[in-house]
Amino acid sequence: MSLLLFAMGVGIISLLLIMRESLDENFRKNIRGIDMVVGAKGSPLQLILSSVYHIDNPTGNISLAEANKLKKHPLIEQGIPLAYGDNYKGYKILGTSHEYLDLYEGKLLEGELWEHELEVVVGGSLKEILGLNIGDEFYSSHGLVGDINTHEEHAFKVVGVLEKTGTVLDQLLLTGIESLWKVHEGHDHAHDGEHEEEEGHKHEEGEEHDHEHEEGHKHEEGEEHDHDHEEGHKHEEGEEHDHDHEEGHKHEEGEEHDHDHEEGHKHEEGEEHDHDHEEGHKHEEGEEHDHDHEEGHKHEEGEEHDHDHGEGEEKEITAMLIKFRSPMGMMQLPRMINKDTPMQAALPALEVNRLFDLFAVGIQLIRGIAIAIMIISGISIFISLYNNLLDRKYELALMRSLGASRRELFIMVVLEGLIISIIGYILGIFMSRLGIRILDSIIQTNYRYDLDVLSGMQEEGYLLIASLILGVLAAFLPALNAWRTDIAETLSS
Amino acid sequence: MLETRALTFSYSSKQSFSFPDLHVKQGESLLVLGESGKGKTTFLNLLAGFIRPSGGKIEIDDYDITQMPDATLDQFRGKFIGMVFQTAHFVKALNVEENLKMAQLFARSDQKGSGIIQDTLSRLNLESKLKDYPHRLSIGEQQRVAIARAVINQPKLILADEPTSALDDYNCQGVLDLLREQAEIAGASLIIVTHDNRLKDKIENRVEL
Repeated sequence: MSLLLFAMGVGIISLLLIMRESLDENFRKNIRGIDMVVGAKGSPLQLILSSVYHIDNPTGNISLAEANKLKKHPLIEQGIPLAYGDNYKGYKILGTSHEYLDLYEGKLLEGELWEHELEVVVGGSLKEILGLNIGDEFYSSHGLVGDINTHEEHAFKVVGVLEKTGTVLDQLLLTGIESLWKVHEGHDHAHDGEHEEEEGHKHEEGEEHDHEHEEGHKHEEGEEHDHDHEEGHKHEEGEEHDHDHEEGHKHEEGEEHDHDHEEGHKHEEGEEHDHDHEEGHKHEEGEEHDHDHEEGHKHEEGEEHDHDHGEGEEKEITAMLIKFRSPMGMMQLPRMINKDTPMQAALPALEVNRLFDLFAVGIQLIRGIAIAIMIISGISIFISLYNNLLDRKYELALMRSLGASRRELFIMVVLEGLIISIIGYILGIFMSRLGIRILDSIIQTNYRYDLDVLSGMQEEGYLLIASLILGVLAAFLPALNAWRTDIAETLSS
Repeated sequence: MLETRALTFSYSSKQSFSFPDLHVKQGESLLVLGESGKGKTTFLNLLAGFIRPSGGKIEIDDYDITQMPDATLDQFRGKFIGMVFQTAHFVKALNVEENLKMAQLFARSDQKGSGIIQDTLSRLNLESKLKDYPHRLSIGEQQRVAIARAVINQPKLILADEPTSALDDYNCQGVLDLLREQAEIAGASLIIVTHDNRLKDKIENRVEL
């Protein structure tokens, strides 16, 4: 009984230690090489959790162009784009660049990396879990978990499998960003039969008509809509311009624009524009318009516009993982981004520390309870040893009559306490390993997150020493009693 | 072998005992008879070194045990004195063999091993009980195991405290015979302290308290 209590105390403490260590390890391991995350405005912690650990919903989307512009900042060494939106059987499909693998030292176990749209590389743990092999095809579902809406139009094809890394990489399906755009275009405009042609068209237009695009593009495509178009366009270029400029100038001109023209969204566009116009006009005209218009517009026309058309027309991504070139970036960039762009910057190290501070209170509470359990179990060991020795008083006296000394009896009882505490400790450690296994499987199914079962932590060494001390302390009084055993009286009673 | 001189012991000023002087030679047997309240047990405890006398001397094999330090006395007891009690007691968690081994261990006996244990048990017709737990044996068997334990370390002196009073006549005779026999084999002196009058005529040397 006291043994079980003792084991429980040890088990809980060890479990806590492992969990803290493992979380710590996992959290820190996964931010290796990520100095900053840029994403949509919202909770910075949420941004970190979603884009570094993939355990929360993203805060929203940001413009790829905007992110790419940032990427060119001299203080930034590397920027890895991330795009979410789909899952397969609850496992997130992450659109990213090949650089993402390098962050986690991910290596191909078999196959090759994705090169084309809809090609997928499977994370180390998912090969078994999902039973995906090279050459397999699957349909993704919209959203980050569950499978309510399946994108039946575009099948992902597995082209590679990664080695296990013990990082978040193991739990992801990786593909190029384009794949997600493709799937989602299909999703949003599933009714549009000309989808693919349209896409090709855009590309051509994008490349060939860079300059004409802004002014002449709509003309080419839709004479009927001149009116709307011109109105809208003016809005775009004029009043709304800076707004669009930063977030989605290309957006309207490229994607929506085409669609609008072909699908007849002009009404919506017109309406929207009007609204925007009315609302935004005053704002922008009053404050930002002139400024942005003059500076930003040229800028866009000169650099960004081409760029956007070339790389991926007014596309959005979920977040970008940034690595600084120097620590100076840490000082300047987050403030700059949060202040001057519609995006937000979050520092993983900072957010993780904040998260751990939050955990710390709870962990301390549970640890306090576990220590209380251990102390109670220590008292319980004391009581049971004490009672036990009362019952065995005669045995002790007998041993004395057989030549045992007081000292030997004392040592014997202390050893008994020690042995109980050692067995309790081993049992407890065993229980904690078992518990971790169970927790691990629960967490893996619920959060797609690996808890590493660590062995031989330093803290568990301290725990062993504490257990031994507790065992000796609990046995001390009973041992003293054994020392004091009055043989004559005991044997003759 | 065993000599006591002017041995006295007092629990309090009111209750004190003085004991007759004993002279027991090696291999001799002695019966100490006395009714309850005469200090039989006290006398035995003194002889075993469990308690210290108020005055007088106890010499066993020329060692004065009244002058020995505690630790030495414990060791001396283990090595030179074998004890048999009215009811046999064992360490419950250990079987017969282990109980005997424990006796060897505490006595720091030079002659250890299961060979001696087996020999001793077979002399007492207990060889089949080697792995049995003592509390599963009959009272008579238990007493025989207790005798085996008393002689296992080849002591100089065997002290028996009412070894027969819990037994019927048949077993009484048997245990007495065994005690004398084993004491003889071990070359030990035997002192039986008892109020059991059945033993009165069976041992020549008698002292009454």
